[in-house]
Amino acid sequence: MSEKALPFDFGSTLEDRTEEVLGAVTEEEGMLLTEILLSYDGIYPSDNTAALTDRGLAFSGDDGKLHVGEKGMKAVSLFPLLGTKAKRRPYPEAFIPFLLSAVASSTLQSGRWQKMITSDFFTALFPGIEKERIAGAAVKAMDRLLKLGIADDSEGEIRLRRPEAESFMRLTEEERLALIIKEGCEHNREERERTALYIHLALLLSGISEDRIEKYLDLIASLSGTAVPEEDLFLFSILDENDGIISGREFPGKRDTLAVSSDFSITYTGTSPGEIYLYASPIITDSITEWKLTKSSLKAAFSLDMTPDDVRASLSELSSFPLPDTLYPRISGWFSSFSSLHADRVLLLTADERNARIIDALPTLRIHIIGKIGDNLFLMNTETEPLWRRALENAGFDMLGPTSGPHFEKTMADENKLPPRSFNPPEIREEREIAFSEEQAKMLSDSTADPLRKILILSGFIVAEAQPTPSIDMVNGLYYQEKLRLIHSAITEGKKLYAEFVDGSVLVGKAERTDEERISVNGHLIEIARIWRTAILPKGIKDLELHPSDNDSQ
Amino acid sequence: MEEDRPLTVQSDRTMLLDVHSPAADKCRGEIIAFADLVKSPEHVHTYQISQLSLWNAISSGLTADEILRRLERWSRFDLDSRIIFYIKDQAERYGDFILTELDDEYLLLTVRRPVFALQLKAEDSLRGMIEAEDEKTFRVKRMMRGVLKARMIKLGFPVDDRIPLKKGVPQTIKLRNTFTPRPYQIEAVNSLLGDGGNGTGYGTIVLPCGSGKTIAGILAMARLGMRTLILCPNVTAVHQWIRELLDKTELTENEIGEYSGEKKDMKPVTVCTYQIVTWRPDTDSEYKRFSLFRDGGWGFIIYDEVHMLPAPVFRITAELQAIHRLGLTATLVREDGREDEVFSLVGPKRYDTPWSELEAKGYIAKAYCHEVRLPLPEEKEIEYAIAKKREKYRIAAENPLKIDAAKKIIRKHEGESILIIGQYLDQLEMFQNEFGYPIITGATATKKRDELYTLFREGKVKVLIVSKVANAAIDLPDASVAIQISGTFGSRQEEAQRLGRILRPKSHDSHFYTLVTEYTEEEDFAQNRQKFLSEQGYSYTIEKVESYV
Repeated sequence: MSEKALPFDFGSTLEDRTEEVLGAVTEEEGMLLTEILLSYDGIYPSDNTAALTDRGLAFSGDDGKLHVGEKGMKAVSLFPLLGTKAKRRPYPEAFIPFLLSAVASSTLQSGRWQKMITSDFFTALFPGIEKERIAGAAVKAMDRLLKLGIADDSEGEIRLRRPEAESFMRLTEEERLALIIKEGCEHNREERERTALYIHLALLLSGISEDRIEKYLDLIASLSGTAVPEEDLFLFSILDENDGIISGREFPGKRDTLAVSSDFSITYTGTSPGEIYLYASPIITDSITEWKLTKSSLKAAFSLDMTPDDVRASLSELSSFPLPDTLYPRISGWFSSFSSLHADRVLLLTADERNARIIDALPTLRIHIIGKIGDNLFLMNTETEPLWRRALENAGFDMLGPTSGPHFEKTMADENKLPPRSFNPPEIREEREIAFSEEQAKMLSDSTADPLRKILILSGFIVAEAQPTPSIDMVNGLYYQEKLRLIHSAITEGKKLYAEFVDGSVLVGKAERTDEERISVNGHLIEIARIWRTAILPKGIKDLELHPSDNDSQ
Repeated sequence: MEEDRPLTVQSDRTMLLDVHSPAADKCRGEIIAFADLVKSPEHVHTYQISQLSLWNAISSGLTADEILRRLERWSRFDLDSRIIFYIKDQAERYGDFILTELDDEYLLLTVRRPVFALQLKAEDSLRGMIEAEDEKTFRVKRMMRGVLKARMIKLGFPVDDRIPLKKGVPQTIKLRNTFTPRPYQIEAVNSLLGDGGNGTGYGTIVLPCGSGKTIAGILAMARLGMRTLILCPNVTAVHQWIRELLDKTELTENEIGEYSGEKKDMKPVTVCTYQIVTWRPDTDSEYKRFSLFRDGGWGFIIYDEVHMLPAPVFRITAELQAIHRLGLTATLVREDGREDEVFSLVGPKRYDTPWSELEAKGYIAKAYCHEVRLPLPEEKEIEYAIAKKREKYRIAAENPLKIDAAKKIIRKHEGESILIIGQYLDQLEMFQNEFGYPIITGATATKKRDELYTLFREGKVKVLIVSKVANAAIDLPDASVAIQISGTFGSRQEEAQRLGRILRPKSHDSHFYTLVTEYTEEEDFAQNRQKFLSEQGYSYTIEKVESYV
C-alpha cells in the first residue's frame, strides 16, 4: 500500500504531524518496524503489520515485502528489540590481527602450534578475557585460517599467505568471524551474509538475563535466517556474561589517535589498522591496543615482501603524530641485514662441456637460469621447471631424465579464493529519534467520550486534539439486513468490525460468523440483533473493548 | 582522545595517560600516589597499579574509595569490575597484619583472624622469624622487622607497620637562601615526608640525572633536622655531597664527616661509600662496619644512587626500619631485578617524574642521542664470525675504527667539554695513546680523579676519557658531549646514567653519541641499552660514520 492510499486521509496527518504520529507508535510497533528493517529475508504484510502500513510507517515494495518508510525510520531503534542498552565490555577486535601476526612472524611451529597458541604467549595479550576462552578461540580460528588458505602449514613451518590474509582483512569483522565459525561459508555468499548479520546482532544484544537469552537468540535467528551455536558466541567473545546478565561485547568505535613512540610502541583505541599485523608484534589489547615494532616483527614483514618504505608509508598514514626520527633508519638497518643474505630454492642442472656451451647460448633458457656456480653447473628456477624442460627438449635435449633428490612440493593457494566483502552492517540508532509517548496518547484518549474517536486515538490514527474524527459509514442497528451485509463484508475482507451496543459498550476486532444469528469478536459471542451501531474499520485498528464505565472512572 | 579524561585503565591494571590532553598534568598528580610510572615516551605514558603500589598508597593514608573516585574521574572508559574488586580487595587486606611495639627486644605482630595466623605458621620462609603468642599474635625480634615485612609482602601479606619512626639525635640543618629549590624537588620531599604520620618518612625518589636529586635530599634533611648518614657509590660522589652540603646549608665542616677509604670521620652528618661499609677482611668475616649504621644516633639515612645498593646493604637496611630513609636514583632499573627489594626495604617509590617533562621546562638539558654506525674492519670479519657470543660482542665493541669515528665527533664539537666513556681498559688506553687526553679508571687514585674532574669542570681539560667509574654520581656541569665507545652489554641503566653526565642545564644542547659496529651483536645490545631512554621519550638518530666528515 502506498502512502497515498492511507485510510482516513492519514497521509496528510503523517506529513503534517510526523512527530505526534511517531510519538504514538508503541514500543511493540517500534520493535516490529525494526524487525522489518533488519530481516535478511524480509517480512511480508500480515495482520500484525497492518497497523504500520495503514499509518504509512511501512509499505509493501515491488518484491511484495515490507519496507520501512522514511518517516517510519524515526521509530526504528535497536533497543528494546535487542535488550536494554546496558554497559558492555569491549570486544577484542585485535584478536584476528594478533593471530595473523603470530602466523606472520613464524612464531607458530608446525605440529606444535596448538600448544603454543594456548600458552601465555598468546593468551596474556588479552587481559580482559579468560585464558581458556581465548585459547579455545585461537585454536579454532587457527584451524580455520589453515583451511581457508590464509595460513600455510605445508612446508614444515607455518607461514602467512599475504594476498589471502589481505583479502581476509578487507572483510568486515562479522564476515571474518562467519568464515571462522561456520565451515562452508567461504563457498556460500548468502550463508556468510546471514551469519555475519547474526553475529552483528548478537554483538548488539545488551543487558539480557540468562534465562531469556534463548528467546533473543531465536529472534536473531529468525531475522538472519541462520544460527550460530551459543557456545561459539561466548568462545569468540561475541557474547559476554557478567553476574547473570548477558550482553554482546562492545565493538570498538572509529580509531582516533594512533601514536608511534620513540620506544617503537604503537598505541591506539578503536578498530585495528588494516595491515599492522604484517610488521608489528602484539603487546596487549584491552581498552587500548598496543603493538611494538621489533627486529623480528620487521623480519616477518620483509619475508612477506614489505620494504622499509612500505612500513614507513603505512605508519605515516596511520600515525596522528610525526614518526620518531629513529624509526626509518632503524628499520632500514634491519632490512639491510635481512637482504644481505638470501636463500633461494633452486635445481642444479649439470651438463657436459659441450651441452653447457649450448645451454649458455640458448636465449629461451636464459630467464630460467638463476646463476652459474661453475662452467658446467647451472642453478635453475624450480618454479619454471616444466618450461625450461620443454625449452631443453625443443633444443634437442630429449634424453633429460627426471630430477633426482628430495622433492620440494610447492603447494598452491586454496583454489577457493576468499570472497570479497559483501556484508554491510545495518545502520540503526540505539534509541528512537521520537520516543513513544504513552502518557500523551492516554491524555488524548481521555479527552473524548466518543468511542470511535477514542478507538482511533488508541490505534494511533488520531494523534492531536485538533485532528477531527474522520467520517465513517456507520450502519444503524435497526437496519438489520444492511447490518448483516456490512458484517459479511468485514469478515470477507478481513477488516475490523466496530460493534456498539445499547449500553454504550464497544467491541472492535475481527469478526467470525458462528451461526445465522451470532458472530464472535475478540472471543466474545454476540447476537447480531443486539448490535446498536456498526462499521468497518481498517485492519490496522487495534482490537479493543470499551465500556461506558471506562469513561465514568475518568 | 577526550580532553578531560586522558586516562585509559586496562584490565591488567596498566593505565595509559594521553600526555597531549590538557588534563594530563592534573591526572598524573592524582594517580602517582597509587601507581608506578612504567614508561614515558612522547605520546602515551604507562602506569601500573600493583599490590605494592596500592599498599603503599593505603599506608600513607589513601583509601580504596578515594583511589576509585580518582580513577572514575579520569578514566575515559568505565572501570572494569575486576579492577574495582582488586583495589577494594587489596585495600581490605591492608590491616590484616599489624605490627606494634612490645618491649625492648620484641615487636608484636597481630593478625585480624586466627586463620591468618595458621597461614603464617605454615609458611617456610617465615619460620624462625615469628614466635606465636596466642591464636592471633606473634612476637617478632626487632632486628627482623624489615626482613619480615619484605618476606610477607612477597607472600601477599602486607604489614601495617604502626611503630613510629625514631627521631634520632636532633641536628639543626638550615638552608642557605642562596638558592631556590625547584617545584618538583619540593613536591618530591612532600611526597616522602607527608604529614609525618605512620607510613611516611621513608621511600625512594626517582628524578632524572642532572635534575638535582642531591638538593631533594638536602631539603629532606633540613625538614627532618636529625643526624643523617649519606651512602654514596664512590668517593667522588662523597666529596660532591660534602661540597653541596657546605654550599646549600649552614652546616660547617665540623659538622660534616667523610667516612671513606681515605678518612674515617664521624660527624652529625656523615657521608660514606657503600664500599666502605661493606668492607670485610675476607668472605667469612662479619661486616664490622655495619656498626656505623647502628651507632651514629642517625634519624635519617640517604641512599644515593639506590639502584647500586649492594646486597649486604639490603641486609643491614632490613634492620634499620625504625629510621627515616630516602633512596635517590634516576634509573630504578636493576639488571638483577631486585627493584622490589629496594622498595620494600628502603621504601616505596614516592615520586617519579618523566624526563621529558623536566627537559621541556628547562630543568635538564635538551639532549640529542646519536647512534653512529661503523663497519667492522675486514681483517676482523672472520675472527668475529667464528667467535663465541660474548667474544663477538667484545670484538665489535673494541672495533679500532671507533678511534677515527671519535676523532670526527670531537672535531665537530671542538671547544665543548667532551667525555669519552668506555667499558674495556685496553680500549680506553688505546684511545688515550691515540689522543693523549687524560684518563680516569678504577685504578686512578681518588686524589688524581678529583684533580682531573676539577680541571674538567674548570674547562682546563676539554676531553676526558673515563671508564665505568664515571657512570654515575659524578657531577660534571659543563659536559655537553658524551661519546660512548663501549658498554656493559645491554645495560639500560648504564646507558641512562651515562647520558645523565651531560644533562645539567646549560646554554647549549647536549649530544650523546654511541659508536656501534654495524651488523654485529653490538647493534642488538645497543638497542636494548637504549630501551630505558627511548621509554623516556628519547629518540636516537641512526647515522653512518661516513656522514661525519
